[in-house]
Amino acid sequence: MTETLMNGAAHLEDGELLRYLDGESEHPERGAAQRHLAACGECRARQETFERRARAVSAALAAADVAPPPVRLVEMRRSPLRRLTAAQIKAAAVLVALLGGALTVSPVRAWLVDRWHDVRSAFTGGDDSAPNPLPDEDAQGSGSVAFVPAAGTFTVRLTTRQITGTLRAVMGADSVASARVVGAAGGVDLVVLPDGLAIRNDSNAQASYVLRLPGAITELVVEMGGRAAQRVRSDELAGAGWSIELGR
Amino acid sequence: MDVARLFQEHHDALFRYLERYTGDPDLAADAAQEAFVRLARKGPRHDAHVRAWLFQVATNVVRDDRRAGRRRLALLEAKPDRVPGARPEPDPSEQTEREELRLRVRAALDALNQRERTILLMREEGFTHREIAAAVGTTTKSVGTMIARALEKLSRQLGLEPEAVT
Repeated sequence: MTETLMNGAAHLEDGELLRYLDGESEHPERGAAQRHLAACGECRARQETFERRARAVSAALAAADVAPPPVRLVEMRRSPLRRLTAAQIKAAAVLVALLGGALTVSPVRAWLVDRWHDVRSAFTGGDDSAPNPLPDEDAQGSGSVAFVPAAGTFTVRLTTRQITGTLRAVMGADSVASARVVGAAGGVDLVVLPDGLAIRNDSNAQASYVLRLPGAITELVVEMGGRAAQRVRSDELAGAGWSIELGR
Repeated sequence: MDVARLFQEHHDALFRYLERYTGDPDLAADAAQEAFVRLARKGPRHDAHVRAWLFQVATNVVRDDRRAGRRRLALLEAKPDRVPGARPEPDPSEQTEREELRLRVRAALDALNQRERTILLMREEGFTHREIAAAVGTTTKSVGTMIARALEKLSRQLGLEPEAVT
């Protein structure tokens, strides 16, 4: 509430002081506030209190901040499956922006599943009868994904060895990587990562996987259940390709 | 619209604002991503409005999420090892101290109502009073008064007022 000084001038209101402090007051308010502050010790003290308060609050908030998640945008180029509009390409690029660590988190994955439906529509033209490339949590089993990897080294991370199955990798001529689950019996998820693919299987799974890599890939790295990674050069993927047994 | 550039420019600030607003890094990350997906689909016509648009959309996303229930919280409680940022840090005492500070700041922010929190946190991100007024549906002039009150309230909650230190 505005109070009145001995000389008849009113003290500055809190809002006026805050606007002045934030550089938001305009002519003639700013000039009047300046003149008043020069003459009024009480308002100067209030202004200093606001400044101190604002600095202390900012410092407390900053000290309690957590680091932003490791995300980045990955440019997605045109897919041979279907010509995408610019907006769809951008939506797809955002989809593949999450790094691997965040993908193990259920809410993030749930978000990814939601977004994948958007991107799938971009590839299929919204045809709901098209196969679902990233199965829902309760509809796991088989599927396929197609995407543009972000790096020259393509990494496949399998959760574990399974009962039977193989992983076969071949080189393709285009810029799109694709993965397909063959004959799945048991829960299997394909999750797109910026640098490759996560195959979330379990030890009871019986499934094979066919991986088609773009020509720009120089090396395939296969990690399985925390064991030593297998590294495969691109020339070993030529022709019939390269495969590995997944059975225990 | 150059989404890659806008992502680079605004993502971290948007995440910071959302994490402060919700206290939930998972939800903040999801809402920030969602805002950029919507931006790529159909953002505002002019780049000049993008920042305020992103913050507004993301704020609505977290409000909608909260209205929809706390399924996310249930998931995190069931699997606490999956909470991002819960990775152990090298120094346990530093970690404890930091966690205490986080809890204190969280409790203080939760004591503000939604409007006060939005106003204060948008100011922290450098939004003008005009942009803040548009976001919360008030007049530009009243924003100053609301900031002053919210600052005082938060400062007291945090024990930063001189009279509160005895």
